[in-house]
Amino acid sequence: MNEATKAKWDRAAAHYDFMTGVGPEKRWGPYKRELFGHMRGKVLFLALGTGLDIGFFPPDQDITAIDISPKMLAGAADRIAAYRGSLQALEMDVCDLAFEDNSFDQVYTSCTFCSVPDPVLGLKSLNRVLRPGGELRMFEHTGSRYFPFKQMMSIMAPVTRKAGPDVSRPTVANVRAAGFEIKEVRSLYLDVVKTIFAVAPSG
Amino acid sequence: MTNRNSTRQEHADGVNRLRPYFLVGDILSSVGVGVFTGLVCSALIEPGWYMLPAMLACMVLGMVLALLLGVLVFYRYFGAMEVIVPTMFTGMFAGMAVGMMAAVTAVEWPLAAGLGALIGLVTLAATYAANSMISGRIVS
Repeated sequence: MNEATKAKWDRAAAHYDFMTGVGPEKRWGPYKRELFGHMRGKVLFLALGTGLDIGFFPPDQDITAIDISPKMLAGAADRIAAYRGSLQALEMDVCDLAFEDNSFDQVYTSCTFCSVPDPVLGLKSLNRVLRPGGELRMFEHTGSRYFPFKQMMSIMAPVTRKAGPDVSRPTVANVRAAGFEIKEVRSLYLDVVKTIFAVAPSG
Repeated sequence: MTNRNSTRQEHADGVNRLRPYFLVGDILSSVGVGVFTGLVCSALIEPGWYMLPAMLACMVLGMVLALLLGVLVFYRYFGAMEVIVPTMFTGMFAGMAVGMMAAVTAVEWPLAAGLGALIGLVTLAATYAANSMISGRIVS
């Protein structure tokens, strides 16, 4: 367990809903609903946070959700209870997953890999618990490939890193580096906000 | 790549569903940051400054003000990156322009605010145009 990351998100838990529960969620809600609409089989979701994304989950799914912060998960309790399906929430570090190999059919992430300290290690961990051919579907903030947005994100990154996310990460390249095959990358905003669809190798 | 046009249309449809609220929010954010940056820079820089240091100092100041206003005021209501990226550019450009002008001649507050607002609108429009070109399916 990365204690520094855990402490950072525990600190953020108190004001997380206040900051992100209105504008960011309303802005990208339709895209998240569309992404999560692909859920099927046994699903791993990370990072659950205070559960703001639960409202976009389709009903009647079998979902295991993890988050590194117990205070975030405590804030998610009411939303977890209100979900119409099976939703189990666990405190866990993505880099140290306590699941057997090939345990899940799909993995979903939502604004997660801007904050995992070692993103390639975390993605390799997801690759391990996904069955061969299993799907990784991500909604992420990343660095942009385009001038001048790439440069602006790099300028902002040292500041944003102190509060939480690193906004200049090459997440698509990290997904490839972790052994996934990229199927689709869809830019939603300036190549910064994007959805990524990848599959685990078939073996 | 064959689905790129249809995906762009889907993207546009999704944005349009939310457009009135976020369009107003984006304008408020960029114009607000531009006006505030213009006013602060015109108050700090006086004629007699060297133009280059004034421009650079106000560029950095504008970006700092934009990040503070973006995160503390506008982020909660209108989105994260979608607010912060255009406002950072607005702060940078408004700071540069007003800082340079104020180093040459006294800039009255209505001019500084108006110039900041104009830069905010132009920057936002440029960001929208860039986004419409970039958005869509990149790999398929």
